[in-house]
Amino acid sequence: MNLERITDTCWRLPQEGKMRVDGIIYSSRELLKDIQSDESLKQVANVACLPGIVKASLAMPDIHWGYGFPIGGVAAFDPDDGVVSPGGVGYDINCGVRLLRTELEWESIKDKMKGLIDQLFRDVPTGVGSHRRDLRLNKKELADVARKGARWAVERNEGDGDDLDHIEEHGCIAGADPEVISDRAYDRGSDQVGTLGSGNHFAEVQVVDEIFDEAIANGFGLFKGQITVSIHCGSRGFGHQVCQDSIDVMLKAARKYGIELPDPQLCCAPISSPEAKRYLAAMAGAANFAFANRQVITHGVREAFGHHLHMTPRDLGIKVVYDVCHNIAKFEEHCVGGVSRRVLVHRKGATRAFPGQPVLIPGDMGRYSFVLVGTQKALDETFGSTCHGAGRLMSRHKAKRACAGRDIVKELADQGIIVRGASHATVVEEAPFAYKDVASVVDVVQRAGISKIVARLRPVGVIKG
Amino acid sequence: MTTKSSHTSGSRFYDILDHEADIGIRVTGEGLAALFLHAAEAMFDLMVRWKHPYTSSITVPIQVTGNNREELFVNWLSELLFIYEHRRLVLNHFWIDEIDDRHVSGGAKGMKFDDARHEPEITIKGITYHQLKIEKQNDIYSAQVIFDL
Repeated sequence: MNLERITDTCWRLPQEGKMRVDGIIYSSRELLKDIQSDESLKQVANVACLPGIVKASLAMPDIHWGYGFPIGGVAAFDPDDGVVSPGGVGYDINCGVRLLRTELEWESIKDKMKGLIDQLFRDVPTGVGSHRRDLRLNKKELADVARKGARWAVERNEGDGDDLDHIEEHGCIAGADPEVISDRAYDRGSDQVGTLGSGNHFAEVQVVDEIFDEAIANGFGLFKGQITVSIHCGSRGFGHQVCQDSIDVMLKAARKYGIELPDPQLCCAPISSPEAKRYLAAMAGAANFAFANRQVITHGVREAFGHHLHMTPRDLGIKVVYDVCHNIAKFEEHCVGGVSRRVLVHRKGATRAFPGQPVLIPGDMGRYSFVLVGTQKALDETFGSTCHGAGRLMSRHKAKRACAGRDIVKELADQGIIVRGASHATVVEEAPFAYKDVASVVDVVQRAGISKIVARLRPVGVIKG
Repeated sequence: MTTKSSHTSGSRFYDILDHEADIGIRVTGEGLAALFLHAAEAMFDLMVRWKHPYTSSITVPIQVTGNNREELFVNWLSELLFIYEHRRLVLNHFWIDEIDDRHVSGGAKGMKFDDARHEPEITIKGITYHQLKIEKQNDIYSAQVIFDL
């Protein structure tokens, strides 16, 4: 497709045909080669065709082929003549990342890591169909989760108010209506609060190994040599079912409202329609399920650390640095063309990056993850959004083939990274070489000015599905 | 007339559509019922490896509707996925009693997931409409579907 260079890190896909706005892609020349090798640019153009899209169809440097919307895509819609699309949020509603900091230093616990990772693996259910034998919720209880989000867990003494102050939207998206969520979603979610699931989801113990901005790192409570924990997961089967149910509804809605779809997975409805209101109310419930999920897992992490290290919560000092969504649609106020207006921002595989806000970018389990901070420029250019991760370099199948005859768990152990996986298949599919180097992604967003790198985290222990 | 699944373990009876983040399959079948059965078998073949052959003892009736053939196909696979995830039943025998473009009724047999007997492979989380295609040439149906992982 015909791309015009704006800067070394920003490219324009000019409006043509049925596109209502330009596509704007944040990428280096090098990453662009990967981006052009799949259909993601076509998907940026397809999103630009949707009614009521404001300013541009945006893409972050980790953009790759998704369903309808690309992963790494950001699009804002006018509430009066725009649309909402479940494909712009994704199947795993409010998949996101939470970063915990501790008062522990690597030197003081490095000899206890193996036991600590084993303890985490026992305490936090992972893997296919992972479920909680000790936490089975009926429909009424799950409706409460959908309404309250992370606060539901805090009310059960699994965390405190300080945790809630460090979560996007304080851990609860407004407008959730448990009544519009299907029984099937309640069935799927009944024993999944507090579980990681599988695929690329994980809980990782890390060491802060490089600080790039001392003052901001200080403000986030981060220091070199410190132990941190990242949790990457979402709304499990509950959110998947909400998405699946909504796609059926939105396919009909798109026909009903005469919306032309370049791809059925872009199915959508006008924001003011009953179908859209219903989806947004169900999506908020699923997003809140995900916030509660990460809160309960946080509690599990605190318990595992306390139990294995024989330390009090005060001595451990495990605090939430931040918790961000990277699959969500939210109403936000943004300045567009010098005028402040309310828009519905879809972020699918993209992270909110408001000025001063911590931004958490996981990499692969063999290299590093990054903590960034949002900027005014992000607010001005990208509806306050940035990248969300490394993106795959190799398909899962290819990764499996590449791992034949290799012991990835041992290779990582030799590098000082302890890995416990519920399934051998997941570990090999998620091998570090299957991913792009996340450093090349965060380098672009920093050079583009839509985020700033604050710290780098090195993995020392990982539990996976 | 009831159409039953006939695939024998060990032979690859479907094509994999390989992609960086997700995975898809392409299947064929002589008639719509055979197409649906092969898709079901392929999905479970991707998700679970049976360490040894065992007799499936739990029977599940299945009834699914859709507004058209494509929706019916997605809803059929979604239903089977739900049974696997929610009831933890690994299904390996399927049959269809009746099928048209908007309705399918049949059933499946399987057994509870058991670490000693089953090895989880690919985790499928959802059935997408992305690049979904169902085509018919003479009496042979073919379909491609992408799974969300």
